[in-house]
Amino acid sequence: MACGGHVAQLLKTEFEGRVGPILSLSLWTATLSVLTLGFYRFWMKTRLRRHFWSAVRPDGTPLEYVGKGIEKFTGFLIALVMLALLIGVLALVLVYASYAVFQDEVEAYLVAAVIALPLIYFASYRAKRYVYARTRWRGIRFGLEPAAGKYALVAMGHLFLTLITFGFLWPRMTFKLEKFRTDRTFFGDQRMHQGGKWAGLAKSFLPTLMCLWLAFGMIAYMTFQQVTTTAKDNSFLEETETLQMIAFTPLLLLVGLFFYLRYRVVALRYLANHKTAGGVGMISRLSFPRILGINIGGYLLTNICTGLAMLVVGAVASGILILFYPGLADLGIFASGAVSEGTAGEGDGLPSTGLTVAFALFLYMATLLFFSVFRQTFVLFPTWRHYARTLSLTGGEHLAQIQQRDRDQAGQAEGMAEAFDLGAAI
Amino acid sequence: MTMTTQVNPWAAAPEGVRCEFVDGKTAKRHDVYVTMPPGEGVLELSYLAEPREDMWGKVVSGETLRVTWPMSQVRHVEGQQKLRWGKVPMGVFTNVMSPTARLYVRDGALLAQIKTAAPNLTRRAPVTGKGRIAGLIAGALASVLLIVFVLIPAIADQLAMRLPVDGERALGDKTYERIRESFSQNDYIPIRECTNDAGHEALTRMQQTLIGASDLAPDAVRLTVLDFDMVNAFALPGGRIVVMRGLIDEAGGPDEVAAVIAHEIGHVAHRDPTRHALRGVGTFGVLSLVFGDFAGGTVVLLSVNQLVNAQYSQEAESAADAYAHALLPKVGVSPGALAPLFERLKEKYGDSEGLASHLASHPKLGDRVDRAHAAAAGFDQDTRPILADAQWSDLRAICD
Repeated sequence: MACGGHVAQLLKTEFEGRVGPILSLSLWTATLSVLTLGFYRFWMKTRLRRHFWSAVRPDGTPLEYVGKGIEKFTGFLIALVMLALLIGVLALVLVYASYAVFQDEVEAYLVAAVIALPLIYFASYRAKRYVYARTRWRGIRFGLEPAAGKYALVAMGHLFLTLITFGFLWPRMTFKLEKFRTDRTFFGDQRMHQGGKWAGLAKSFLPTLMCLWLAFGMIAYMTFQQVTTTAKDNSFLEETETLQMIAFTPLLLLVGLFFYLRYRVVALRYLANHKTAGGVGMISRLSFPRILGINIGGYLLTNICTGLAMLVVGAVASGILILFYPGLADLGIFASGAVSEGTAGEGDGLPSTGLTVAFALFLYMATLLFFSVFRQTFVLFPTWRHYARTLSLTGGEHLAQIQQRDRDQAGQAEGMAEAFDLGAAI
Repeated sequence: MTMTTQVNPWAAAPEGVRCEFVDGKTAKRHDVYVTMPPGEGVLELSYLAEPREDMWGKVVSGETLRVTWPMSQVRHVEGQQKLRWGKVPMGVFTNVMSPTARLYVRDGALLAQIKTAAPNLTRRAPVTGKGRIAGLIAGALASVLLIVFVLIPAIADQLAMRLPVDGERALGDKTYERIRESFSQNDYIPIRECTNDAGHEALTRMQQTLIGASDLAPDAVRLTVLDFDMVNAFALPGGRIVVMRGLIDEAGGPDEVAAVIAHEIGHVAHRDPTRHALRGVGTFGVLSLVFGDFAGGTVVLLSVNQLVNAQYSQEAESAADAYAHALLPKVGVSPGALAPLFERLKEKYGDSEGLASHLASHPKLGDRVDRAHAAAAGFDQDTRPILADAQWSDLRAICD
């Protein structure tokens, strides 16, 4: 600098975005996705990302997403061939084996889950690599070193440790996996570093762990009781005890969920506060009550709006149906619902089976569409805004030393992740 | 917000509009002064360089750098045309020759000037590798088709022949429950199974008569009547044959019902439903992958529809018909018994399909009627009703 002295700079993040544009963008891209039988979804996601990224402005400069829909589409095509083979043939063989040996299909799902787990971690790392490679700030590219295979292996190891300790080492897994990724992340030529210790997350995970262990204990106790009562005579007292426990379980689940959400937020804040990129650091003031409020209010609004939108769509569709099939006139605006459920009855002037199925599909897809649009607007958008506004960068004066990095092709984009619906949000 | 670069307070204020600029080489953001010299068709950007050491190790600072962007090379950054900064629009521009550099303009007048003067603002780089993309699409389509129409059916056929009876029954029971749930008007109570005592007795009698005459084990087939209007009957894996009440209502006599059931027994004997169910498992998994429906609703909807309105291959249908034509004479029913029901349905609903007339709308129905008549022509023994009149009325009342 001109005077030679480095003044420590705190760079705040601004957020520039409104609900209106987000709602209209997600509405028309989602409509296109449905009209194109889902094939527009790659371009939809790209457009949404561009929008969300450019709303986040550390130190007033917008983030940029430079990915292309066509990249995602071709990446998906490549993954499709492999996964179609895997999913089609494997599902078939597993279901066969499961019925042949166990006369049930639960076992098939279990084995499929065990096979899918490492693939999911593999795909999620790949997807992150693509997204980082297409993200820029101040013209400088982000990057993630290719290590998806190793990541999947490491994740499996941590998962195993977590399982045999009944969840005790879950925070360790959270931390180590985040460190694995962060330590391979670059901003320009500057490698990032995840500081801190996993024990820093342990305390905030304790309440969740307690709920989990209490649930385990109750299940174990109930199984034990059942074994002993069948051995002896079943007394009335034990019956009520079991009933009380069953009533208690949903409450326990709810409390556990609450604590787990809190853990997620606290962990995210802790991990952000311990990230550095050379002399540049991060400060996050993420607030759990705000996130909880956004989620509760957001999902409430999402459901109400989806319900209202479907009422309108159903009414319009019913009107069209009645025009063509006057026999449905008695049902009024509920004609489309009745037809799609096959309860409209039978006889002359009624739609055929094929049309019924098509109608059910249409209503189903429309519901999904509206839900995702409103969730985008009322849950993800405010969450994103809160994340951005509570984030600041320290040591901004060190940014001048960060140099550009080469472009990472990140070949198959998020092809694999598409299959598992990872990063379903944006 | 401004960088802390100290500017000499006595220096002349630089000419031009202050904007922000990054050169795409370092993460330093510069305060840049932009001018548009009239008639030259360029953007002139000037900014203070970072202090640097010269060849004698002396720190040089205060240098002014100049960058010239010809207007024809200036582009909008894709997807950032409509950014705002508070209440004012913010323009983000780049240069095709240095695509990582960015110029952030918040000055309304300059923004308007650039937009009128730069001719190629929205021009995009041409799409490269169109051939590769077309090849990929064709390749992916071909392999998915191959997997769905060749590989999965081939494997399903092999596995269906090897599935033990217990497994087959379990598979059938699962699909049976799924169908009952999906046809139900109520989300919680599955569609009712009709088990009225007298009716059930009649049904069992019909089952025993038909199975007794066939080469199948006595417990290979289970008949079930579901309380539903549809004129339909279908076989499920493990030998469960479901007859919808609509079919019994529509039939002119027990022989017509028996003829339909004999056809379905043919499918059971050839293990068609098992093959079909296994094929569906693979096919619909792949389909939901292609269309990106992760909630899986499409899959459930389509697979239930497929099971109930199962359209087996033409050969499988002919084989089941042949089986029925061979079985029916053994119990004293004319193979032609299948024809009247179809003909009546066709008359009632016409060739257009109604919700309830799946059987009538089955493709190649005409062929099947013809075949039934042809088989009946060679049938000259005495017919005897498969159920007595009293039992037939019991069966018709099975759902009451």
